[in-house]
Order: sequence, then C-alpha cells, then structure tokens
Amino acid sequence: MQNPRTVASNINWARLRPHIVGWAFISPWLVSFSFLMVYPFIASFFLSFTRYQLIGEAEFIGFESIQRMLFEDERVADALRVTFTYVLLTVPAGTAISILVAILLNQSVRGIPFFRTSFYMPSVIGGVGLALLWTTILAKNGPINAALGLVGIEGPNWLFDTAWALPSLALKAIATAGAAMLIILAALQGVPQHLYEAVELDGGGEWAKFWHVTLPQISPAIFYNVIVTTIGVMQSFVEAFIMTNGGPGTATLFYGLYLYRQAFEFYRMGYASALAWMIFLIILALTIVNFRMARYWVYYEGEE
Amino acid sequence: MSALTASWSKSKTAQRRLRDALAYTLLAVGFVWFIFPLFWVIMGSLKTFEDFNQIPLRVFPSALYFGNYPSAWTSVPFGRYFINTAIIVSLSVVGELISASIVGFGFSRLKFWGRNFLFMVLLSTMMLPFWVVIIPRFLLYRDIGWVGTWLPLIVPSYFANPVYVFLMRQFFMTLPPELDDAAKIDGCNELGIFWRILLPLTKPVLATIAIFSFINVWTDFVQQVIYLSQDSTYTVAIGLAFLRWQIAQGDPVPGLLMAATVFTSLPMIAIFFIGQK
Repeated sequence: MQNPRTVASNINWARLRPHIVGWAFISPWLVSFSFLMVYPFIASFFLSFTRYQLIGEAEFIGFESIQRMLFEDERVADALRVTFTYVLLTVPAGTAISILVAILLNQSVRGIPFFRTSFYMPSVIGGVGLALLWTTILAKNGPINAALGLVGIEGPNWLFDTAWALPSLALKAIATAGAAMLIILAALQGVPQHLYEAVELDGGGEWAKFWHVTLPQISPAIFYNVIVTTIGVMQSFVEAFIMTNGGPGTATLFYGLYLYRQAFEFYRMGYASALAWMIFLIILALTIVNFRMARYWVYYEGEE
Repeated sequence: MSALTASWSKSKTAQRRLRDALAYTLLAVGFVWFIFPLFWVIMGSLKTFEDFNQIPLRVFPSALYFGNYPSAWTSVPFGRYFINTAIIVSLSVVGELISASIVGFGFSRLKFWGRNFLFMVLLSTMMLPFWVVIIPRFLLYRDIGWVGTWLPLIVPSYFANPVYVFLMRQFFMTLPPELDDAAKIDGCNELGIFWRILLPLTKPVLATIAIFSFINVWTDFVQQVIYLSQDSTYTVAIGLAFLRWQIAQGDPVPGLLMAATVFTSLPMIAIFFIGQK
C-alpha cells in the first residue's frame, strides 16, 4: 500500500512536466524579455523623474524634465514637427509605391526574378552604406541635378537646403522600401484565383478585379506595413545622423537624433528617458488610431 | 462565325502584347529607380577627382581608375573593422539561430500554461520602440562592465529575438503533428523531437533567419555607435561614418567615399545572392 501523499505528488509531477518543459524551452526569451524589455521599460519611466548624468546618484527632480520637455525646450517641438512631417512624407507614398511595385512584380512576364532581386537590392545594403549612397545621389553636382539640368531646371543643393533636406531624406526612404514590397507581393500571390474568375463571370474588368478582389485581399498586408513602417519611421536616426547631421538648422532634426544627442552626447539620461517615454506614448497612440481605422478598410476573411 | 472568333482571338493577343509592353516599360522604370544609385556609386568609385568636376556631369569615368579603393581602404583602418564586424556578426547569427529555434519550438510544438498569452506578449514587444529601452539597457551594461566591449552587441542574440521566434514558430506550425507523436512512441523526449526530428526540417527558415540577422547586425549602426568607444573595437559601419565626416569637413574626394560604400556593401550583396538560391 503506497502512501497517498506520494501518489498525489507523483501525479502532480507527471502533470507538471509538460509545463516545465515548455517554460524551459521559452526561457531564453523570458530572460531577454525580463532584463532587456520589462526592466528597461519600467526603469526609463522612473529615470524620467530624475537628473542623472552618469556620475554619482540619480537625483529626484519630480516633473522638471517633463515640464521642460513639454513647455520650454523648443527643440522638442522642432523634432516632433520634423518627425511627423517625415512620417507623412514617407508612409503614404511609400505604401502606395510598394503596392504598385508589388503588382508589377506579380505580372506573368519573363524575367520577374531578375527584377525582384534588383528592386530589393537597396534594402539589402541598408544602414550607413545606403545613406552614403544617397548622399552622393543628392549632391549639388550629382546625377539628380544633372538630369534636372537637361530640362533646364537648376536643382537645389538638396541636403543642405532648409526646404529640401527633409523631402530628400523622404525620397531616399521611399526608394528603399524593399521589405514592404515583398510582404505585399507575398499577399498578392496568396489571392485565390477563383475570386477573379467570379468577377469575370459577373462581367467585371481589370479595374473591378483590382478594386473588389485584389485590394480587399491584400489589405491585411498593407495594414501590417503601415503599422510597422510608421513605428520604424518615427524612430529614424541613421539617415539624419549620416546624411545631414540634423541640419541645416533643425530641418532634419529627427526625434531619435535629438534623443540620442541628449543621452549619448550630453549624457542627460533623465531628460532623455522622459523624451523616450513621450515618443513611446505617441507611437502607442498612433498604433491604436491605426488599429481603430483598420475596421473601415482592412478586410478579414470570414468577417461580415 | 469562324472569322469572328479569329478576329476576337487576334484582339486578345494584341491586348496581351500591349499589356506586356506596358509591364516591361514600368519594370524598366523601376529598375532604373532602384538600381541607378548603386550603378552611380560603382561608376563614381572608378572616377578620378577631375572626372567629378566636369560639366556636363559624366556618367562613366574617363578611364577606369582604381586608386580610390586602396586610398579608401587605408584612410580608415577598414581591415581591422572588417575583422571586428565579422566576429560580431558571426557570433550573433549563431546565437539568433540557436535561441530562435529553441523558443520557436516551445511556442509551436509544446503545450503549457500561459503559452498563448506569452506569445501575444512576445508579438507586442515587437512594437516597443527601441528608444524607450535603450537608456536603462546602456546603464545596465555599464554597471556590469560591458560598455566598450562587443558583448552588448552579441549576447542578446542568444536570448531570442521576437521577430525570428515568430518566423520559426510559423514554420514549425506547418510541420505535421504526427511527427512528434511518432517520435514520442519511439521513446524520444521533447529535446530529441526538437533536435533530431524537427530541426533538420527547418533548414529553409534557418537560412532566412541567418541572412536577415547577418544583414541586420552588420548594419546596426545605432547600437554600435552607442556601445563602442575604442578604435580597436570599431565596426565597418562606424568606419564609413568616419569617412563621411572627414569628407564633410572638406576632404574633397567623393570617389574615395564611393569606393568605400561599394566594398562595405559587398558582404551584404554576396550573402543576399547566396540566399537567393
């Protein structure tokens, strides 16, 4: 006769085992989630209420940083204006172009793999290299101005012109939207053929097919791209850091660049944390608005 | 009747031809739009200084001039930076592959308390802005003496990047559950199922993750510039930025910058073409 207690604990172990094994398998992520996500996320919130310049102790200063950020520091307003303008210049145009290019790459003509590879190439180079590549394209005596010269237009010195610097960076961002293009292309290839046949039976043309089948079917992919690129573009840094250094004046002072300078050039860790939390809240709000708006234009299978 | 059909099918082929012509025209425009910058930089890297000042601007160099390459290579110690970057990138890629496949396996093939909730949490962390975590991370690494070393760039790779976990999970879900059951009957435990049965089937997605993480780590300028502070540890991206600032301060050799852009992009282009097959 076994002790009932032991039996109970044996059964528990057998039941617990899969859960323990499961948690063991995901434990690498649990470690990074705790130490590199949750902890920093909370810590930066509390740092926002301190003054801390890397030496000594962090000093509690209450809402001083937040007040300065919201009402006194004009650069913050500049940086927000630049960043929002940049989002408006890149996200809608970038989305439209990635849809057009994806449709183009979905045509049944010869040589598509070659074109797909070349269109994606700029995204592969990425980072500083791509920024330098576009610096030379946008130079005063560069090819864009040479082309404009052929039709009698004298081009500006793009990256050093207060009015043109930000649109120039936006142009670079749009020309390198390879990842978005591939996601939409994958969605296009997943559109069931019978839906097009249904439109044909109803006597619909190409436009009807695009409007009533293609667009609703790829709308989840478009939505995903809008979310991801908005979040990404709000955090832009490298372009401004390498191509314009935020200038001329504050014309390309991205929020990310301003935050970087506060944190890693002036070592104002408290103030930079407040700035970081503000951009987090703004991005969160934008994402929520995007999800709310999705109801009106994103189509999900099996929904009314 | 037959004449009517013939003319109808003729107009159909004509329509088809028109469509193809339009597609090729637009593809050609796209090709120029996406590839021209790269072409321009390659041409520029082969130009002499005089070539850049000619009016009208020349597309091709007057003669192939290779001098920009050695000068760019030595103007910044790119040799060392390449070795540094290769070490950081290869150790990171190994870490991403190991950790993403283990965690992805857990989230797709095992059932445990909190799995779905934790996976939703994992997905939502993908939307957390980089800037909101970077300052405490920096302070954490400083406190354990990692700032100035490669460790903050490498070690996190061993603790599962959510994007790659997601990719692995989606792939594991496509494999039939009977595989696990059969292995279990044969006396395999979870580790055996993962290592011997499923992992060998995930080669395509492992290759994808290897390519993505290679490119992402190689071009991750922000973290490199935040954590590294000594010349002996610098990376290719930092070297390129140095070159850019030299030029911005009036060193007037655009060909040099273009040559550096070309040879620092080569590893990415190579890995991309290897990945194509």
